[in-house]
Amino acid sequence: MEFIDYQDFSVADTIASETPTGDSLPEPMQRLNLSTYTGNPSVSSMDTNFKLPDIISSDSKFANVTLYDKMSQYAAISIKALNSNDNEGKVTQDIGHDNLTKIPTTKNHDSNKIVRDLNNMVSRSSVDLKSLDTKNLVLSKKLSKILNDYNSSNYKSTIELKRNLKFLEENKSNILLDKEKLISSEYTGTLSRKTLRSDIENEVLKEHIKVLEEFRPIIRRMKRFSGPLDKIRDESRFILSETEDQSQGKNRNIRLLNTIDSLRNDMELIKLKKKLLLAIKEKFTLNQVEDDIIINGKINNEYFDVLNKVIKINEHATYLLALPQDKAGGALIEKVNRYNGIISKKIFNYLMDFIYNFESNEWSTFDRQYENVYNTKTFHRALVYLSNDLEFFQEFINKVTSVRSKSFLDKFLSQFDINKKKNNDIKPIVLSAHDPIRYISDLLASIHSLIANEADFVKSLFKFQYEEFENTPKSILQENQAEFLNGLDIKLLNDIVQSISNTCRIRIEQIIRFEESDTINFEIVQLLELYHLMFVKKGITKENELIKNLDSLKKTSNKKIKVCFTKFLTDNIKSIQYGENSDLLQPDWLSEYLNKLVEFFELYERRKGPSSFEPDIDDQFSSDEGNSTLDKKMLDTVAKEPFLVTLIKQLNDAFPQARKNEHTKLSLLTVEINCFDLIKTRLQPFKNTILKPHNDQESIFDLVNDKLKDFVSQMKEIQSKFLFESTGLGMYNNLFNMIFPIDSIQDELDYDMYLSLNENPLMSLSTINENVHEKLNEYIPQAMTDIQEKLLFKLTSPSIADEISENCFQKLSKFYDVFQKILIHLNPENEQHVLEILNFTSIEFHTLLGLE
Amino acid sequence: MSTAPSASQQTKKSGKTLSKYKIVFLGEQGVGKTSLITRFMYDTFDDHYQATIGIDFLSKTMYLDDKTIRLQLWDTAGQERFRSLIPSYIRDSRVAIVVYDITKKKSFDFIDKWIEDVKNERGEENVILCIVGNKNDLTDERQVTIEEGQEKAKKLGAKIFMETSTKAGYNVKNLFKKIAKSLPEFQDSNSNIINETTGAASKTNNNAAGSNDTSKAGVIDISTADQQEQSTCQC
Repeated sequence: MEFIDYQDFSVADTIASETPTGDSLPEPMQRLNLSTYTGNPSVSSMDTNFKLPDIISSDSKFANVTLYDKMSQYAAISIKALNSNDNEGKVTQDIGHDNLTKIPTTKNHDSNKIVRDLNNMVSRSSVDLKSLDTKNLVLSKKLSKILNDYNSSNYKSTIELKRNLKFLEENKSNILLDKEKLISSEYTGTLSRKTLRSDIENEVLKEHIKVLEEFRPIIRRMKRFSGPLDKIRDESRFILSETEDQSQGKNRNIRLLNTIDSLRNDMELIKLKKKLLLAIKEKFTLNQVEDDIIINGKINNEYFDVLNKVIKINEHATYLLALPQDKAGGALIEKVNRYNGIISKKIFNYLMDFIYNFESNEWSTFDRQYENVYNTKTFHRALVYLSNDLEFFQEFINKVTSVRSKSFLDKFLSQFDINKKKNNDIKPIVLSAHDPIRYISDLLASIHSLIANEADFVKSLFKFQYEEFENTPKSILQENQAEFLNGLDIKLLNDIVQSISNTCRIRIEQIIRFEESDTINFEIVQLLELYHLMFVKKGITKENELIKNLDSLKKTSNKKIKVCFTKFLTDNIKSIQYGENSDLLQPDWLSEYLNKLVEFFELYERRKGPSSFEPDIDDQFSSDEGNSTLDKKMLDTVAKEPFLVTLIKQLNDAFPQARKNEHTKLSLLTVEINCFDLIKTRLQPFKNTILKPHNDQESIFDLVNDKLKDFVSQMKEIQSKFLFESTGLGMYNNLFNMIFPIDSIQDELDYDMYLSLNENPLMSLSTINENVHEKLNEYIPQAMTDIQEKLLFKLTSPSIADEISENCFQKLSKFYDVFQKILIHLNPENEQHVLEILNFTSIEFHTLLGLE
Repeated sequence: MSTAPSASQQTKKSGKTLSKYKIVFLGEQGVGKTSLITRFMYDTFDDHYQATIGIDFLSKTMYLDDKTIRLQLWDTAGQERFRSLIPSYIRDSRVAIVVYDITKKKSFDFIDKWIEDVKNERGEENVILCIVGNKNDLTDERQVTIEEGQEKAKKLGAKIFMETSTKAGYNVKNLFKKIAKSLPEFQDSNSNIINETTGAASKTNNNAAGSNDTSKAGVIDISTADQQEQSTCQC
């Protein structure tokens, strides 16, 4: 068996020798597993019994001389040759013959050469032997005989023998042959010759064993290849037979090769698939540990890491949906959504626990200790993650709003609790009968304080929107709905604060409803305005119910101010009667009302400050119509209508005969002037502030002033009329003015305009003398006294009285002067007579009337 | 003296607490109430004067002697028209800081009125009164001496008197440190603090502003050693 293996190895070596590194032993080859290949159905499962492949016999090229072949042959020959040497002639011949028959014919040439060489060697030996001792001659002869016993039958064996001997000769140093001893004719010679064979055999065997030992591992390896090689051989045979058998063998072969290619491609595809699936598994699935963390884990950084993976899976899953077959993506998203649901619920519960704990412990803000119990960073991070789930996030916001709103309201209401713990040194807010302003002020200040605290809390709660956490993907809300998150703290604060809006409104409203004072109502308005401003500054939006309620309360209070004034008028304006001896003073209510109004205006100015009446502020003032205390409507109600409508009507009613009777009219005008002069005087300080004109409209003050001027003008007319009538010049004044207005006369030439009067009988000097002279002389000296002490005495304003009297006298004086000159112009021949009728010179007339 | 904070203001748990104290700043217009708060809060000073409208609120967490307290600073407007609001804020304040301008005698004279308002609202016992003479850097224009200030503080029963300069950053943090140490939170361990703080301001020329201010965001650590406050001026 071992020998067969040896042959087998020699074949392998032959193949190996054809490689560039022919001397090296063949490297063990990777096992080619063809167990799955069933190209040849006849090939059964691998034979476990080792069989050397019969390659040599099937392929002529393996018959070529190789090292191993030579070795095997030489070994065999040498052994045989030795046997023949050792044995007697016949035996040797037989063996030699037998061996020679086994020697491949292709080696004959070499064998002959060896025999010749051996002969030469022997003949050389024989020559040498002659010089040896005679005792060696016998052996020499014998040997020569043997060697020369040449016949054709043992020729080959002889050649072989020679060759072997030569080989021995060449290797005598290696096998330690003692030549002397060998050729000794003595017993020792005989003995050594007898042992020669065994020695050589031993040596050869040793060498062979050595070589074989070296080959053993190689052979062992080769055995492993035997099975696959068998299979390959069988398959190749099968393929070849198939190829030969089939008429379309070539095509079939190509098909087969294609099949192999396709199988190989399939294999590659499967490998790729495997890789892909592994990658997908890594990217799209959670392992059991992660799964467990999601369901049972605590909310901490580890949990967030898993959560990040889920978010990434979710993101990747969306890409899968874009594939033509979106089933996988759909399924994955469904699974991820399930995870997300669990995560959201878990985070929601964690956050709610956080909030409830916060509430129950009355933590005022996130302080250090609270951070120990509940890591605020974890809380904020959890909040960021929850913001991915809008539904839960909104639910959380609602819960927080609800919890904090309740707490906010409780804190607010506790301020009014008069049964609070005695050790609490803060006084409760109590409504004091004499100080409703303080009550509202305390109430609003406590709200301000609560809002400040709440804003502090909410800001710390939702500062996550401004934070960046490491390894935290920005939540969908943060990325896509920045508007939603931006100002979330403000929104939450507004929602929380809203809870007290009604309570606050009710408490303030009950004060306003029962407050009758316009100034207190105005103080309330001021407070409401200021707190509106401060609440907005704290982040409360104008749309918040609390702010709306403040605005609504402000409006109510403003209305209440209006009501205060209108109610005052309604209660105090009663019909008045002015008797003949009446002082013709303003009605009592007017003074009181003006006092009230001025007091209010003064307070308004003080509270608003001078800057509020500056032009730029004024625009806001007017645009804030309806929301400002003293808007146009309000001013019309409190400062215009009572004077320009109510008062005038009341006075007209008091003097029903004024239209018919000029004396009554005079009284009416006196009262009116007195009233409007008072109004004007009292409103004068507010001319450029509260009562300044808006939008190019005439201001109330101007209207009052115009009205006063109108009354004064009317008074002037009537007084002049009375004056002219008293002096008898009234008729002539009318006459002259009818022809050409006296006031239009500029020089003496204009006197000609009146020449036509010569024909008028009234213009005769005697008539004039009768109508004017006496009256003039009687009245003029007392005119000033009469006017000032009787007619204008009841005017409370001396300046107005002076103005009227002066105006009348000037008019009279001017007419007197013109009248005198025109009469002289019309009657130049009777100038002296004219001067007698109108006996006062202009200077005298002026002096008598007190004109300068 | 019963200055223990109410239950709603203080929560105790395992030794460490977070108490909130409401501090109201009072004084005439332009004496530097807002700038005092700004210096304490942000360590800055703005030369541009802007009158406070209504009442302003700021809060600051202080970390002192292993205790954390939160100070709520209520800055009132000095203008006459906002006076009516102030009593409502004094009502629940733990500390009242009455500020006057050392260069304006009138603002010093009005201290009595402010202290009276505080006492009317809080009584004599339930409030920590502080009198602060601001604008200490304007020595040439001084109209009120330190001695006058000390005398008035003693007369009115103010526990803390101090002169500060918000512009120079002098004594501001020291003031708040002393206020903090006067609070019930620190009373047990600092029983002598009141006596110390009523001493001359010139002698307490120290500053608690340390470089550790920035070690914890939003928290002022004033537990560091005192140092010259002028050196921290950032104007």
